[in-house]
Amino acid sequence: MTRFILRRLLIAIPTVILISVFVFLLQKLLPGDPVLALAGEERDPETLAFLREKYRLNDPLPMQYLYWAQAALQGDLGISLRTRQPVLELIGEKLPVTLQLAVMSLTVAVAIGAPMGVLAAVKKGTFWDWIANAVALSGLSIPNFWLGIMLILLVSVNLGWLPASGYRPLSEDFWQSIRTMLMPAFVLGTGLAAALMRHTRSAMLGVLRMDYVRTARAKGLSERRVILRHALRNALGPVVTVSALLFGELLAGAVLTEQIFTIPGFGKAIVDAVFNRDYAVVQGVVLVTALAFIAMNLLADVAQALLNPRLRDAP
Amino acid sequence: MNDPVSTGKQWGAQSAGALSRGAGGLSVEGLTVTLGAGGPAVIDAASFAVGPGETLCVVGESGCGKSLTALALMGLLPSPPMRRVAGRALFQGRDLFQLPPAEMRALRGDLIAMIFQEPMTALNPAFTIGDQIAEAARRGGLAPAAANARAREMLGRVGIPDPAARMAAFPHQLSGGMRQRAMIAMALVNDPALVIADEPTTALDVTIQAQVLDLMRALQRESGAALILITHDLGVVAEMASDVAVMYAGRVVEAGPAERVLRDPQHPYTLGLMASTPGLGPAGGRLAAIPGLVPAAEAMPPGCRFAPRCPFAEGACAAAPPPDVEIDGRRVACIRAPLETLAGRAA
Ligand SMILES: Nc1ncnc2c1ncn2[C@@H]1O[C@H](COP(=O)(O)OP(=O)(O)O)[C@@H](O)[C@H]1O
Ligand code: SF4
Ligand SMILES: [Mg+2]
Repeated sequence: MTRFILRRLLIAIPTVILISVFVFLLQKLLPGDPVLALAGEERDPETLAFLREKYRLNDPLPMQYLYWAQAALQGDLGISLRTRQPVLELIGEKLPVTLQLAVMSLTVAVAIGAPMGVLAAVKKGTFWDWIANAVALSGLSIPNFWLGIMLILLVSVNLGWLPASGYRPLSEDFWQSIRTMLMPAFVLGTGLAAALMRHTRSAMLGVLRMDYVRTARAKGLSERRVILRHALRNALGPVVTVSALLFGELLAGAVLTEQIFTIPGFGKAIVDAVFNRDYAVVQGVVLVTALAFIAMNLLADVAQALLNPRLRDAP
Repeated sequence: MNDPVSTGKQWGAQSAGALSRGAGGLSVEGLTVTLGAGGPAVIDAASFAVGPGETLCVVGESGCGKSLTALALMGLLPSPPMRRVAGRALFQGRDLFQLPPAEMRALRGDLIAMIFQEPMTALNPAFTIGDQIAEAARRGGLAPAAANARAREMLGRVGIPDPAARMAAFPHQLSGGMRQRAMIAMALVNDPALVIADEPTTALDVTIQAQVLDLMRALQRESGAALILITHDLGVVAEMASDVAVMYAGRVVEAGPAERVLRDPQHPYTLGLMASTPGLGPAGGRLAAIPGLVPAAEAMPPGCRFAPRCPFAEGACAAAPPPDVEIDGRRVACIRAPLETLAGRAA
């Protein structure tokens, strides 16, 4: 198992390098001159030349990349051009918020999507299957911003059950933090539940056809045990993979939903940064998001191996 | 309706009280399974019987309905599309087909067990074999620790070396033969009175086949269970069977004591199967496969289903299904029986 994980880590290295190159080039591809943005009001050619020299913008591109990568490896992702705040510090503020939203959203998605998928597969072609599909379809087709606004109107404005905004970090006010995130997590979670339901359903349908499910029945096990132990256990692989990928997606931030519920996460940070040409922040956030995505993939692989003994033994 | 008495036996009719747990013959009469409601009969009025301690081989080419027969007896038909529309299956004084689903489930894996053809796919890849066997034992009423001990004991009994270590093995870590032994251990863990084995050696190498058959014979001798052994190989029948039911296209075309049927087959299909089996074909003669194919469910010929492939066929064969006749202690469904071969030899 340790060897399996080590091998996966090794395989991930080229991907990480590739992504870092891309993130580095992002700054070169985005329109506008960072030096002009840095200098602010100052347009003095000497100052500009000084800045170029200071940030080694005259060096060949590969060298610039190496400087940048070296700094990044040491945790120096530059400073925000606007707020002068170190990017790493900014990420340290935003990441827990986004992480919390992602965990809560995925919990909602799994809690709704997985049981519905199992039910739809077991009751394939019946009323229940139809209902599950209809619910999934509506989850897919209702836009998040609309659902968010409707929820605010109903739950916050009319019923007054949950606050529509006023997020506080978990560490400062636990319940307020959870309460403000319930609605956005529901909005994001129901959207993802549809995808999860469909993957669970098709994975279960594939597994329910397997010989070992018939063997489990031939052993006289209860139908409940046949489905929840013998079938679901084997259908879990694809479901876990999809969940991990969805989680990665959630980490990239949910721009509209964060905006609607005024949640200070990655989604809002990256939009602000792009509009302000705050290159260092854009780079930092994209880099962290991409790394999180890779980590999620890795985690999915490991989970896969834990679930499937045959993979564990693979050389 | 076919009469199982003509095979010389009527098993399963005894009351449960009169029998020990280990005893339980099965008598099946007129089992009919259709593909969809009102569809073609993929099993057509099949009748056969097996007694305690005896082995009934159900033999026929692939696609003749052997597996469906086994699944129908287990109450595990894939339905839809399959529907059991008629028949009785007497076991310990009760008709299995009339049992409520919960009672049938209580029998499965306990008094009636099944061994499947492909141990690689029939065992769950996600659980260790020890886990899977112990699960069956717990289902039979044992506490977890006792179930584990019982599973270990069974692994030893089916000849798996170092059972304690093998408990933790996953199916893919065992060889095909060892997997099938584990499957057998799982089926026999609750000491069933009736074992249904669907081509248990077909997926194995020839030498392993012989070992597994030996094992099954030895275990059956110990337990006195009734065994229904499904095979497409008359060689296996010759080795194992006390009785044989030859199936063709969903019908039992010849049924009786194995030794008589093999010595002197009375149905042209049995004859054809023998002619294509090494060691059973005509002495010194060439092996000859039966020309043609088993008809698909949707394209069953009217009358005798073997007619399109039968060298003895005549006009009347296609008119109506041939009735069962009793010849020389076995039941045959052929209007030409007794065959001239027999008549010629007898003369
Ligand atoms: N699930 C199914 N759906 C439709 N037809 C089936 C199904 N299972 C079996 N059959 C058909 O029923 C017939 C008997 O199949 P089977 O019992 O598996 O034969 P055997 O075990 O003798 O090889 C075959 O024609 C097969 O194609
Ligand atoms: S009834 Fe006719 S076709 Fe059928 S097996 Fe007998 S001789 Fe052949
Ligand atoms: Mg079969």
